[in-house]
Amino acid sequence: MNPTRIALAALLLAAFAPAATAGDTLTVQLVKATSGERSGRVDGRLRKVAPALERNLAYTGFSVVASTAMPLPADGNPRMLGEYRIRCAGAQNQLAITVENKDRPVVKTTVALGDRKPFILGGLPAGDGALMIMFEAR
Amino acid sequence: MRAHDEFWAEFRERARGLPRSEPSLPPALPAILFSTFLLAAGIGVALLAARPAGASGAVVESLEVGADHSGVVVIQGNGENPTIVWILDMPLDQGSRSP
Repeated sequence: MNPTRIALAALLLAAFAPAATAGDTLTVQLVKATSGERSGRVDGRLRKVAPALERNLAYTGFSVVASTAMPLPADGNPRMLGEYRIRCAGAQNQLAITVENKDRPVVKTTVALGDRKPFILGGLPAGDGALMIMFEAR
Repeated sequence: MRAHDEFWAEFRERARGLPRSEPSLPPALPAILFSTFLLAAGIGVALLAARPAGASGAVVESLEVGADHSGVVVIQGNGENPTIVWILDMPLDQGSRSP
């Protein structure tokens, strides 16, 4: 093969590699964290993050209450997760997240998400534990 | 003197018998090696560029809590560990600060 063509192909590969490897879907999960004797069960969908959660938080049980997914870049349209209205807007590396409850703003944040590097927004009150929202681009 | 002459005569004779290497330039790099080198370099650059920006985990650039709370704990993720933002002591009727 012509070396020039190979060089051009390599340069094109280098130019488009970041876009090709960036996540194209954002998953959002509402997770309930519990503790105590009746807790201790970890939802299979959270197996990857469970060790970090157990190590850093005072909870032993984690279960997915609701979940949704959207394409990236996010369009900013609201999505309901339990009682929370979630708005995500923008690209993966500049994702604006707004969490509202009963039309009241709870949290507003901007994060840069890595591929398959979850971002967890927690401490939302629940009667017998706490709620957290996990965002992951993949 | 005779021994001396014989010595050098034999020396020259043996020297003629040794193989001589002609001075030459190294062979040109084959095109296939050149192409392989370029391809490897391209892939290397691509892999470097493709490293996730958040190799150390998700990065929080801004945070605004609209509900009552007593503080925020940020645990920066690394590797497989997630980045965790934990809002402390948010009451059940969160958002009560808003009118």
